[in-house]
Amino acid sequence: MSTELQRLPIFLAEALEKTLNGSLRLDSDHGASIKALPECIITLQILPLKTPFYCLINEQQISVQTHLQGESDASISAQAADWIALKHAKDLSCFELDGNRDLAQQFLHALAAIDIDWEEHLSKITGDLIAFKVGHGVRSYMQLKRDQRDYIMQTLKEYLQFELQAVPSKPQIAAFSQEVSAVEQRLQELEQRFNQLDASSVNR
Amino acid sequence: MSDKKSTIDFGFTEVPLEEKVKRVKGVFDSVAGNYDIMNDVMSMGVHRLWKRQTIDLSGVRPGHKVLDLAGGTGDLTKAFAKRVGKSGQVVLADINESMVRVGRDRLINEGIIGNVEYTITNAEALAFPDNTFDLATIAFGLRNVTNKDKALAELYRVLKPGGQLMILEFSKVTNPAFAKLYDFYSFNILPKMGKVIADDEESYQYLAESIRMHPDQETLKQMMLDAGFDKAEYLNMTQGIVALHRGWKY
Repeated sequence: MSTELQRLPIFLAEALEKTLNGSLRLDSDHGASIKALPECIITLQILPLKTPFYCLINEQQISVQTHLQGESDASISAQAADWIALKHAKDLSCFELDGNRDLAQQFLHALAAIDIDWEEHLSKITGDLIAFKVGHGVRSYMQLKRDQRDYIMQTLKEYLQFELQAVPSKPQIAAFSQEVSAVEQRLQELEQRFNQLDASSVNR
Repeated sequence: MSDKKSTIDFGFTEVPLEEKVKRVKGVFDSVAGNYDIMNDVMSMGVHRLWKRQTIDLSGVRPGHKVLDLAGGTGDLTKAFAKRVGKSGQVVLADINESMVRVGRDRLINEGIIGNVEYTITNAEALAFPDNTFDLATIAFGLRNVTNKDKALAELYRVLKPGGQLMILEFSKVTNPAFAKLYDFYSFNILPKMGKVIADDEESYQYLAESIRMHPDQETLKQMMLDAGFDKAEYLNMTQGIVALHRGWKY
């Protein structure tokens, strides 16, 4: 039996393991909130993938595998997009929890709390000066992007407001319609008047 | 005992039974220092994928007790030690002292301590009580064992009921065209690489020969069932260059 396709979830598990542990190492608290969890197993279901990822958590690191003898302590299921947006999620209602719900919530909060200070870690490789310049460059670029976004939003807002002023309001349209109706009425009256005058001149 | 039964294969050579252990020891004493580098070069790194798949399929969990027989330089032990946690235990066992020494130093240097034990033991006479382990693995080691049936029976004995044996070993390539290419690589390129990298052509010639003498997938599966395993199955990896055999004790 060929196993090439069966290996795909294993590659994903390995990638997930490296990402999680890499994030813990770079976290400003060194993943203290994850390491504070008891030795446990949490199943992560990243929909629409069908393969469950079992996270074996101990005080040193997280191991991820796609097979497990026995049951896990808790399981968390959510769409891939919700997992990616976990850090900025306002509430966790899109995450379906099962088993030990307290443990699952602690794990989610711990994941969301991971905060990586890239500049600090970069300085260990490149030195402070280069790290500062790179960090400053990235911050400037991010600020520029924010400024441009705000500028575009403001311009669009003003344009729409201006255009809204140029467009007649509902009462104005109603008044104009009334005037048109009055002119129409007046025209009909004049026409009748002309017709009557025309008829009387013929009779004479 | 007849002459035929008193000899056994050592690669393509027939040697007296008691001679094989010494010769295998010689091979591994010779390659121990360069074992990891050579594995990477010979398999082009694919041995890591084979091992990773083995670890994943084991389904091991915290608290488990694992035997890594013929554990060599400790690749599997390292991964299992991280998974079984403080409440579990991994025993790295190998008949070759040089390999255990290299494995132990490597794992200690990587901070893998506390839940790993090291022991020098013969696979045919394991120094563990009955029903000890939840999982036993032997990766790229069984083909070097003199009496494989005895080793399988011993592995069955030390497993707990419900326990699993995983044998990762070179096997028979399933695709004939690929088999020819693989043969050319094994007998022409591999020994030369052994000479260049480890200055040891003979040992790598033996490794290639011993792979061909090892039982094929179905034969080994039957040997496992004969040794007492209640269920056995195998999984070919990379066209059957390697097969992962799994056996369960109920």
